[in-house]
Amino acid sequence: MSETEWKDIEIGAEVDVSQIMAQIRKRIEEKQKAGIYTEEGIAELAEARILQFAEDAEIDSALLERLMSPDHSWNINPGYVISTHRSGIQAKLIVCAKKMVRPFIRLYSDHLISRQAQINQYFVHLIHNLVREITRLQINHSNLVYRVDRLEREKDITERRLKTLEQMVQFKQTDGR
Amino acid sequence: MRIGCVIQRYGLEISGGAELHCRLIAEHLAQRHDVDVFTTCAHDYVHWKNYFKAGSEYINRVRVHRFPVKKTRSMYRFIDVQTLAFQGNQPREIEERWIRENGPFCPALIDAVRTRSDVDVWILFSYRYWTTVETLRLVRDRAILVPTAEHDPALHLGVFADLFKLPAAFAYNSIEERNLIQTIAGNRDVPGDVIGVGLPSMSETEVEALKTQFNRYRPYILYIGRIDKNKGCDHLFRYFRRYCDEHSRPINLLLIGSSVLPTPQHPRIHHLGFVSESEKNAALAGAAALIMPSQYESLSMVVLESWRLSRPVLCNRSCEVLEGQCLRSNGGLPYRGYEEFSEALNYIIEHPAIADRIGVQGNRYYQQHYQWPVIEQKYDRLLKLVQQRQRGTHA
Repeated sequence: MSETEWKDIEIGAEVDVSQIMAQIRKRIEEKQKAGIYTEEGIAELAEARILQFAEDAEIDSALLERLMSPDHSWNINPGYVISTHRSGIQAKLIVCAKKMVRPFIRLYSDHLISRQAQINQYFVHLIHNLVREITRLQINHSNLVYRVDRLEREKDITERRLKTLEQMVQFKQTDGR
Repeated sequence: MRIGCVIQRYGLEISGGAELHCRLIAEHLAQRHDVDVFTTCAHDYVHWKNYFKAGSEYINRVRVHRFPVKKTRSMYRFIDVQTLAFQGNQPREIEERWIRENGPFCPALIDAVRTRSDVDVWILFSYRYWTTVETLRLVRDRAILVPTAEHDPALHLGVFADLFKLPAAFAYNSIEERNLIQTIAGNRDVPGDVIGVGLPSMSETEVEALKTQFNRYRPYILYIGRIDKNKGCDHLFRYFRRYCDEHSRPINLLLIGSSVLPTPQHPRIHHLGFVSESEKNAALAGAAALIMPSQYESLSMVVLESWRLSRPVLCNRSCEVLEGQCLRSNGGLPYRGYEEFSEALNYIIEHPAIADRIGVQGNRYYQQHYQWPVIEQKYDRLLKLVQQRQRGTHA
């Protein structure tokens, strides 16, 4: 990368870092316009699409944030906290009774909830990857359409040039030279 | 003035950000005020196991009172409660339970605070801990809260929106942190100031003497801190390795700090482990730039250290605080994603004179906002304000 590609900044003058970053982003944008997308670029685009879909579906923004985070805090969990809105001795008895019952309930519910959690995780993973793959394919498709257009234009120009040359040759032949 | 500081852990060997922040503030305020620190006997921040002896001692001329943690944190129970609490719209009881499970659960500390009516102003560090929350409820009219908040799900618990209305004043770390808290709590009427923490200044001759010590690695970028996924180091390693694959430029990445995440075996990545303060400064002084890939920072002290030595910063702009500081100071290039990282790094390497200038601009910002006299002046103003309001209430 040569220095002449960058706008000159006078040494000693105040350097505006936002201007430098704007230049950097413009260069990246130009590369992307030319169809040069990196894996991160595709991932960013895919993420923006997923967010857009979620916004259209009016999903709770807090849940959306968790869906996009790398951990799986969005998923269902067999664990739960035992509590009661009552107070005093009654509350203690209720909490105690619930705690005694919980192992028996979880004996039957845990494997079902865990299986559902696995399925949820798989589908989220699958959908995220599908959106990414579709984004990649659309970028490739746009690039190919752009290249076909360019080839067609070049073909037209070449054909016109060929025609002109043929006419010139014919003209020269009829001119008797 | 008699000041009480409350912090979850305290000691020379505790390296956490908020804990170091508290110690530096306490030590500086102790030069002009009567300062007591109230803390627990815990050393580790995962289980809060009692490690230090309960009782009082002096650490760098500051009186420190330690109280035993009554219940260690059970991570199994904590994650159970956290999963529920972070699902949003939960009853207040669950959120309160989260605070208690988060700990450190230390009722003796709260009892001690209750008996200290002689303390004029309390300074409470880190909003998310049980000790801070309970002390704040007890001494709200005399409390300055140093929230050290960042974008994290706990901040969105309803209980904190109410708690942020309680203190007499706030000492924020950054403008972004203030905006975040004011948006969540709607507490614009609570006075506060953006203060942060200071660093001792260094003369130019000191800085010049340091520059050559790490010459064998030059050119290099430097990361200082815990080598952890939470600090964005996984991204940093991925980006840097890819940068090396795509560019033939012989640049190195130097890492200083303890390693939670394994450091990749790569000829251009060098983990120096723990180094002395002077070695750290030497590494900084000779660096092309400091790299700060973390997404979650309320104030990065290493960024300030970098600016103290006039070195530019490359930081993750997913972190609003870091981006805001770099743009306000013109002291660093904030990137997002590999493309911007790669181009920003290219720019720093290809334009050394401009990179130096960016570092100098960072230094100017540090001089204006993070020199100790500035920090002390801001704290004194806030302390007086709280004291005056307190007197006004009692008059």
